Amino acid sequence: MVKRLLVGRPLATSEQEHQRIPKVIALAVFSSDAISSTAYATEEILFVVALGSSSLALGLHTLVPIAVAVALLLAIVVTSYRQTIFAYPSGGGSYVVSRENLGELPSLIAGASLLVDYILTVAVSISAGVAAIISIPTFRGLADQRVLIGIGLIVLITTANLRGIKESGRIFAAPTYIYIVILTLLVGVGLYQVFVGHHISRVPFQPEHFAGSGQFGGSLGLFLILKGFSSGAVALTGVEAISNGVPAFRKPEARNAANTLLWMGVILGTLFLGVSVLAHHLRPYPSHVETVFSQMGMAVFGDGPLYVVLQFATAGILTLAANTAYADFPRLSSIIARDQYLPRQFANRGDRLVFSNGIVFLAIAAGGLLVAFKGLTNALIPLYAVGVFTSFTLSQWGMVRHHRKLRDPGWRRGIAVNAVGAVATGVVLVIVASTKFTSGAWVPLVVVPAIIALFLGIKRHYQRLETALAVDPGDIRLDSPNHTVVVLVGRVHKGVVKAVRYARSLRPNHIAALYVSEDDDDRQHMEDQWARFRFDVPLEIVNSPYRDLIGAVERYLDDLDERWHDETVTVVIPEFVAGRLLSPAQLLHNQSAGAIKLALLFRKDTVVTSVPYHVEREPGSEG
Amino acid sequence: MAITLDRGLALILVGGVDRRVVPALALATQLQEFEARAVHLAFDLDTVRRLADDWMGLGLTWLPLHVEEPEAATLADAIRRVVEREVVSHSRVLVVVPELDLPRWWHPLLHRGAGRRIARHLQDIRRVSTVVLPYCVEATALVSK
Repeated sequence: MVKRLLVGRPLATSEQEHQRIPKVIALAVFSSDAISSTAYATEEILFVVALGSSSLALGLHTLVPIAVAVALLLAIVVTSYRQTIFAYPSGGGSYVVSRENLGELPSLIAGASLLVDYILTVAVSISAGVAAIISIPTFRGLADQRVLIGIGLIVLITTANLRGIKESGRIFAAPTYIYIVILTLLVGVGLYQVFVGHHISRVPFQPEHFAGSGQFGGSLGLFLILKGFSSGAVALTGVEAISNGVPAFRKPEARNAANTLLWMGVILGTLFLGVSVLAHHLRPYPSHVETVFSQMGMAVFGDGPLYVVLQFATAGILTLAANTAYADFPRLSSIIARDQYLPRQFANRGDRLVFSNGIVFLAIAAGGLLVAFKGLTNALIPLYAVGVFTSFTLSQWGMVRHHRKLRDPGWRRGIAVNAVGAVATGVVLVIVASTKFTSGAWVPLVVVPAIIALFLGIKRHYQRLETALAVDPGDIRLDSPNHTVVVLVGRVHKGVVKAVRYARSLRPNHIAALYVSEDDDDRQHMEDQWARFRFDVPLEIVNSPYRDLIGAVERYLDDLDERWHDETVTVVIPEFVAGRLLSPAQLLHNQSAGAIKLALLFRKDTVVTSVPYHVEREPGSEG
Repeated sequence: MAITLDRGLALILVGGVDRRVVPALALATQLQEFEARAVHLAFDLDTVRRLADDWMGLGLTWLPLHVEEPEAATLADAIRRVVEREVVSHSRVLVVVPELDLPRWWHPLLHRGAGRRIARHLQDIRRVSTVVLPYCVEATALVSK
């Protein structure tokens, strides 16, 4: 009842086609992660190039060239991934491309990196969203509750995603578009003031809030510039999301996905470049008190309603960046599970046609990180840049191999595009790994191999099981096994009659009814009842003076094994069905049956069958 | 007490052909009061093709195999739909679900364990019984040779 209320009615498999999403919703679902990075990428660059031995002036001077380099990289990656989408319209992104073209290990590296990235994306976005909410003056008192708020948001996004991608997309599309509009307004109005109005409302510098020391002078070496570039490259996280989720698009899936990716690239690139150029002119400063974004909003809009909308929209998009991971993690884990590297449950669709096990796992893992880091997950950001660029590089290199192998029309151009992509993202990977190694980029070097070892262990289990279960014609013996059926009886009633009839219909080699008595009177009473009904099944009675029903049944079955050397024993339990499955009457009547079923669950070669007897709906049954 | 039985329908659920279905096939030959039929829910076309090949290759054609298009998203729901449809035209329906019985505590994490879930899901349908047939896999079968 509660589940239906939260998640909605079950959907038929035939409705799967209707669950596909149009481009407008897809852009919001798959791009919120990438587009949200415009809220912090510029600040991330400034935090590197305007501090330490450098200065704010030097940092602002370097900001635009670095932003141009990041935008160029974005253009290369988007162009490359468009090729991937057309080549692999069934989705899977880097994992599938690597599996098809580079082999097992590279594909597992890509798969593990992406899964870790998606978990980190949820944890980081939620905590960034919470930080944005509690930095609004009215909500500052909630700072101590950041973990609780974060968990609440995870529950909210998880529930929406369990309702299906189409519904979660509809719910979360509006905040994404509001953010795009307000940011476009910020950049548009700001740049208009700078270039047309020649009126620059520079951010007032407050030295006490500046995270660095000197505002002028300093020096900026190549290492710091590269480190700044690798910080700005976080803007590319989430770009691969569309290539993983192509099957979620309406037909023609590949074309729609490729066009959506192009739109995402244009929006992300334009806004990121716009914010960086505007920052160059407005001169915001990296601060732990107020975000660069907030300083720029205040400078352009003042402290009016547009500034408030900007702040709320930023909090919204940062939180909803998690939704992209919710769209992709379950889909990717289902593909990896189908290849037997993850438990099969990840490949199951739930009754709303989403991969619900993946969604729930993602929520638990991200929630765990949030609790472990007390809601302050900014330290995790360097971790996922490494994973993202590892999967980018593997995917692009895989596409180069793909073009070489197939030699479809235009293959030379394809190789050129993807080779440029592979080299560019590979170089960035080296830069990110070396410049951020001590800040946490070493962690994936430990975590990813551990996950790969787990993948291989799971695969090994399935392969061994497959070998153990392999069957050939000689194994299929259709002669009857030595089969004994035991009907458990508590007293004689219509349910027992039905159970005995069923037991007979199995045509076993041996059949018996079993009664566990407490004392001699009880035993005599049951024997009399059995004789009165003239069942053609022998009644066997075992004594259990201490009313240990389960122990008595188990000992009896052990005796039977010795007596008849059974290959299979079927225990038939007459069970009342009184109304609903968990009604009080149901629980009252079937406690013993449930306990016996549980106890015999792992008994070798033992089949337990419940023969239901519907008390209310079967009044005219024979007996 | 004289016991007379109508001919019912036995549905043997099969996901693929391996050792776990062997006890179910043996049981099918014993169910003389039932019209026996193997049923596969076609969630994945590759699995259907493989199953059809194995079914023919192993000479199991004595037992009709019905491949059903699932009318619900989950296996348990889809089976329920099939059973609800069949119980209308049969005096009773027996659903036989082969299941793996694995030796280690963590093995259930890697397997769906659908049998018992299906049995619970069908419990409230009148004139339907479910048999979960476990196939016990020895721990020694799962170590490297």
